[in-house]
Amino acid sequence: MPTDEPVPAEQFDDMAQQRRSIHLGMWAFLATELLLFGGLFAGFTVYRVQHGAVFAEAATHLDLTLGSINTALLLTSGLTLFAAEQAITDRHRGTGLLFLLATTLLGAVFLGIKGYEWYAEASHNLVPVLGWPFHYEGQSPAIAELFFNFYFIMTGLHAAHMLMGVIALGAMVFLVGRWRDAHKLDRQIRMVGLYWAFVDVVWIFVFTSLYLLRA
Amino acid sequence: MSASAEPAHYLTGGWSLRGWLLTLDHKRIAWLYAISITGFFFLGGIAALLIRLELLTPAGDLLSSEAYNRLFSLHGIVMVWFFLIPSIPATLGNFLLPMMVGARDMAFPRLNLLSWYIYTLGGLFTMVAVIAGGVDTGWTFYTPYSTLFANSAVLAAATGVFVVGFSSILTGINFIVTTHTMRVPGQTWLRLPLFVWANYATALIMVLATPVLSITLLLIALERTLGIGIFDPALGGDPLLFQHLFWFYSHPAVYIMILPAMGVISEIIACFSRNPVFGYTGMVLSIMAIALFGFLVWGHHMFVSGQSLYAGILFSLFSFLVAVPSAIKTLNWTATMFRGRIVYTAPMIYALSFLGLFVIGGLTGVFLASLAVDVHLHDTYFVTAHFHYIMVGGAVTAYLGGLHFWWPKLTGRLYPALWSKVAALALFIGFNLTFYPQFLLGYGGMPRRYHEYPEAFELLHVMSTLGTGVLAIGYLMPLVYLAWSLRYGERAPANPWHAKGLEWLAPSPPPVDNFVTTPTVTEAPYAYR
Amino acid sequence: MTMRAAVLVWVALLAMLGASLLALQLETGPLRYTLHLGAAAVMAALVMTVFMRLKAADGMMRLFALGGLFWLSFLFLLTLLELLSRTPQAGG
Repeated sequence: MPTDEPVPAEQFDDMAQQRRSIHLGMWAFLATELLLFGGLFAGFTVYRVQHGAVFAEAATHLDLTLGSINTALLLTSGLTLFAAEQAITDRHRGTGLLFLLATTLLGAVFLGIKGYEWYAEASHNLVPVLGWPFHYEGQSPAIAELFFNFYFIMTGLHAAHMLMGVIALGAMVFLVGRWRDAHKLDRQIRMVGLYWAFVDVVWIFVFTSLYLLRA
Repeated sequence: MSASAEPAHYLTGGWSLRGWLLTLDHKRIAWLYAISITGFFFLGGIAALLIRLELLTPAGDLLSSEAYNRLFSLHGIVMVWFFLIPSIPATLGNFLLPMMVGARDMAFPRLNLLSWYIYTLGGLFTMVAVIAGGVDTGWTFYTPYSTLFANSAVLAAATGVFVVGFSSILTGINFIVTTHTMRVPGQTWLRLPLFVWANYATALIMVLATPVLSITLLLIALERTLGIGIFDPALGGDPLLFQHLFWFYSHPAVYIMILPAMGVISEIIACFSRNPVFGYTGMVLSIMAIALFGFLVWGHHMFVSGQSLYAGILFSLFSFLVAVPSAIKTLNWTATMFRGRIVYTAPMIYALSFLGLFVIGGLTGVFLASLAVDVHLHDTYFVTAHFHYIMVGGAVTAYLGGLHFWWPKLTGRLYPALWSKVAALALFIGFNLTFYPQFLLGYGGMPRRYHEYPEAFELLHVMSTLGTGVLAIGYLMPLVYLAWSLRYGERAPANPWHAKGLEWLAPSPPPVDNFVTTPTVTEAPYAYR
Repeated sequence: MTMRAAVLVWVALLAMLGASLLALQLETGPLRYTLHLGAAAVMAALVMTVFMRLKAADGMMRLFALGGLFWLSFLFLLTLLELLSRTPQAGG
């Protein structure tokens, strides 16, 4: 295969500088995402400490099985995306495409399961939004409502990030299919990989905080 | 453009809409920002004038209390988010940072342009919302009023500010990466001008603090639209949590506003004292210490909110500590001038003005950091005076000083020296006339955000309002003679002030790629002696 | 970072998840909660060092990653401190 020497963008002196800049920039961006979710987690922590018993009981109303499956799916998608990245840098287009599609599928299934969970919660009248009926049988329904508020905001914000990730994966599928500029693909898949893995890390803590800290 | 053989630079080569609105040149983007920022500044300034007009008389006769609430909210929102936060970084920082590290452009030029669009469009959207719909919560959006009871355009305003936050984040990422990866050979970290260090620390704060504001605004929006209330006391929610989240961003935000100003002052004072900055390493450590400690003091906005006394004591202690690096910087600037050969240009007058006003603002901050004192001064005009001394007396003064210092580089023109000095003095005088009485008002018990007051406060209010007239002159004059200089000003040489720094090696104005030949750095910064 | 390392990490991640789910059998209390959070921290660390290639990255990137966490800890610690130190007389 002829080696096409990549040319750095105009503002950079060489490819090493460009690559380093993109990596640093990506990590700086992920730091902002950490602080975004972090603010939410800080609020949750405050209330979890203050209303421990009620929150723990409310957590038992979440579907632990589906949540655990989703966690396993997401962890697996981290592996498939890593494999996709490896394949692409090794210039194995077909394998890369396969693993990309697998990752996208896993992400989509995650979102589907999440949507189903929300639907199930809605049919049990546990969704306190827009004035919908909220029927909680347990102690302190008002405070339990606070727990569910957090549940929907956290999983909602996470799902929004997952959706953007799935869209980015879809774009990568298209670009890898086209295989126009291999070196650029290396950079792009690396960025998507970092973002996806980060969203994975956030989910680990969302799952633990909401589903596992139960009574 | 004149017909004489003017070498091509970043301003020649077409004034098409496309050449400006789709530019990737950090220097042009800096100008785009300058235009937006100036627009917002005057909008916020008009609000301030109306406020001062209302306060001319003790009776609330110009505006209803509802309208007054909306007016000071507008003033705060515009001045904080659409003027002060972007001001120096997005204009002078964008223009000079790449040059000061010897680069041709920022690391991410497209993100740079995107950040301007997000800022301008988000800002305009917020403006329409705030003016047409009105926001009466103050720029601080405290819950539960903002979430449960306010009947104004809180949602739109929160959304607008949320959007503009991304502009900050993108700018921050660009500055951080550019400083790390684009320095030319020889430009080591400890040879960087303090302006670069200051903007770097500012960028760190932008990146770390802004997302917390984003999530806080998002939570307000969710509560108002979907009814998902996490600050609702009826559900066991804690309104104080909102304040913690809000101030975790908004206190570091004031360091976003002052650190770049401090960077400007270092450059100006060194140049016009013909001395290296005293204690360069101490200055660098102070800058980074401010970025760090600035995140530990936010509870001093909440001393009387009902927060824990013990947390209050801790926040008070940290607030005293965060004053130390600022004090070190002030002492070092003073020491820089010692045995110097002072040149009283307009930038230097602005810088000296900054020193005096920043000291007053900073010291009064220390007063407010004392729990026992703050109990009496909280929510009075003393606080208003304190932060205006820093934000206007400090940040805006430094912004104007920097504009005057680098104007020849930015435009290739010189401005009339006499008028510039008169304007700088008018600013200093007008500022003190406007805001010093406010310390006295606050000490006397005049509350903030009130549009009517007892007769006893009238004289001080009248003084303050008259002062705004002089202040306005100080702001309008540069607008006139700087614009004049663009057409009729004497052409500037590459280095009219004989200053040190890579930006002065480039022609005035610089070519698109900043330098004719890529510079290398072999000497320490501020090699004035 | 090889595929082999990635697969091992994936196995470890699922194992940690399993362990955390098993811990649900324990009595509710600080021990169990600590195990859950500890497992989460280990899983996050594994993802970051291997899937996000922090192990192979240069110091600056690791500093960025840890820096974010460090600053976030201020928000957590001071807010919690404020909450937990409220008394009827001294605020709250």
